[in-house]
Amino acid sequence: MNHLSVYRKFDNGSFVMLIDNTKERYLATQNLDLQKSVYGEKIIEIEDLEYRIWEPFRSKLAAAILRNLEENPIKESSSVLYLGASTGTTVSHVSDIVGNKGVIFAVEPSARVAREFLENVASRRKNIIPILMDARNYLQYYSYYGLVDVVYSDIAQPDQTDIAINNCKSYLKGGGHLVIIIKTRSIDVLMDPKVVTKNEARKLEKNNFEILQVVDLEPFDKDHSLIHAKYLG
Amino acid sequence: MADNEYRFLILELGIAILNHENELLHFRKFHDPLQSHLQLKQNDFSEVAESLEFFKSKPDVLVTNYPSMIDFLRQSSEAVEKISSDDERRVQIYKKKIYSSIKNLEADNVELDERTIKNNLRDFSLKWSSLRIQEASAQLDLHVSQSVNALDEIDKIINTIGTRMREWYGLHFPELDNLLQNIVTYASIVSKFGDRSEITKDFLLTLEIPDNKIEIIIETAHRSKGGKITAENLSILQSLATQVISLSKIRKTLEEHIEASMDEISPNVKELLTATVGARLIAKAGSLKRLASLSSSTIQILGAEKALFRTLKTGANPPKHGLLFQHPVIHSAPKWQRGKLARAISAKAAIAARVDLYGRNTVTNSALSTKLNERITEIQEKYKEPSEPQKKRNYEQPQGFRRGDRNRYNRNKGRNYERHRDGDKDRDGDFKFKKNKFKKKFHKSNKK
Repeated sequence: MNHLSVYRKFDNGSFVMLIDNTKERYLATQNLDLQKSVYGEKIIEIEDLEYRIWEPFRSKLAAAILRNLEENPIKESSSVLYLGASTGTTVSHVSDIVGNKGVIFAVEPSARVAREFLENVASRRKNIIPILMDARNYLQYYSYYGLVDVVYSDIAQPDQTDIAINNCKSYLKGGGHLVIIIKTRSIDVLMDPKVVTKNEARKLEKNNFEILQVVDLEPFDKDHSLIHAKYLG
Repeated sequence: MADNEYRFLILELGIAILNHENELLHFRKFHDPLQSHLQLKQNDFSEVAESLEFFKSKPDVLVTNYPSMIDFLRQSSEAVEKISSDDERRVQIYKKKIYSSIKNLEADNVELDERTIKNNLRDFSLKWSSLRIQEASAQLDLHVSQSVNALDEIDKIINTIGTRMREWYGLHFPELDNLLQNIVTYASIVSKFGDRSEITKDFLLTLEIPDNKIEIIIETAHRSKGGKITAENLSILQSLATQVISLSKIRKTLEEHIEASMDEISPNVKELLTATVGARLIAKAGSLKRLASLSSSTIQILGAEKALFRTLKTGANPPKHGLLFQHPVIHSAPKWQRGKLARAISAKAAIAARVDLYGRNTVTNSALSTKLNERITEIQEKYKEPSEPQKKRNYEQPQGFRRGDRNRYNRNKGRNYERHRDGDKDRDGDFKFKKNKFKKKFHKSNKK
């Protein structure tokens, strides 16, 4: 990585694609928490703006964008219900994108990973409200209010789609977007990943969602796919 | 819905009372939300009581979202119910509206604009989450699983350093290796003496080595085939030996500690499985709570995940036991009894874990272990001999097929198993990433 410059801006510059002089491309978001790197990603300054490289091998949303996600539903100042925050790798980039006008409700059940998440991400970024709960108990979220524009779900559970659907029914605006990462091996180790994805997509359609796009995340993540759907209300 | 129905809600930032049309009638802000929620959690309802004064006449029906408060609320209303899940959902959705209508209520004199609400909520949720993490990290079963993992690692270290020490000291005194099995005795000789000719009878006696062996050791030391060792080499070797000794001391305290803490957190599991096996199961499951939620069949093969997935993928024999193999009864049993024993033991272990987690008193209940022992003796007597000659499985795979294809085909006729990994080359997209190239680039850039 030598000299980097901005190659393309997405959604009015909420995140960008950088290019170096060997024409290698990198995704990056404008850093909200200055001079702080969350998971060892590189921080770059271009024209007085600070960017964090968004690694597709670490973050499935970045992988999906590089694998041609047509429209990224998470935009500046949107409110997001994020299921499965984990240590906050992707959450930090989502927080960069939505900016200070947006808000992220980040749900994570495991105390062990939430510890790092709170320390490195949630306590430093003002637009994140952490919720230390299982996404299955979606009616008991504290610190939650209103309806959100986007539900982002990245939980490796056999019933991951049902959990996402329940959360959407309670908290997603009519016409809002659902981004769900399907980890096919958590649903069925034996079945063909493509069949699993298809089944989950069908399940969404039955529950009043319109499938906008299905993205296979290979080569960044094995047996993962991302489904982008619209909630019809 | 009755006109006199009210919703009595505990929200993050305060207590709210809504009427049957979901209009906010009353709101009392918590001065310190964290403290108030902690009080509520310990069933201290003093703050709630003040809000109850809102009701001049007794309402017909009172609905609450805080189940443990129901008994308390009965004082002010005949009919108190838990909120229905539909209503709960509505409250969650309208929370923003509830908060924004607060400033219209003059009685409480609170003003909250949207930004303050958001900041207050964030503040509360950060503190609340930190508290939850603190609580979770203080649980004793997590400490037990850490100590049992530490025990395993120390065993590994003792083994590797010990073998190295034997090998190294073997250059100087090769005969000692065969004479002493115990690694700690060996290490204490090395750390005490070093040169083989200096070994004394008195010291060997303190190590509880039998007399005839002592004589052999001293005799062989004088006519050993080993080479000389320099002082420098010897001092390094001796520090390795002291490490082995101190590690085995730690190991012993760990073992005692595990024993003691298992008595505290899970006496019934300990009674059935011994302390270390029980602790290992807890460690593998993640926590006692998780273990108690597992089915006995899962407990039976906990620790044999690799074999289980092999079964699922190739149709090989399923595992009979995982960690449970370390249970003395199963360990010493003949092969054909082990599956049955593992099943019996895991069945009772599952019950024991639940008794330990949910039981009021932490006293061991002997009923479980007597029943288990009965069953164990029954199995041992009934299946003294292998019931039929064990068929030798043909592990060679038929030519032209991949591993497990035959079984897979038979079990899952009609399911599609073809995977087109390699045929994915024609996927559309303007960036074609070569995985390795891309990955390498990233690693390089990170190291800079």
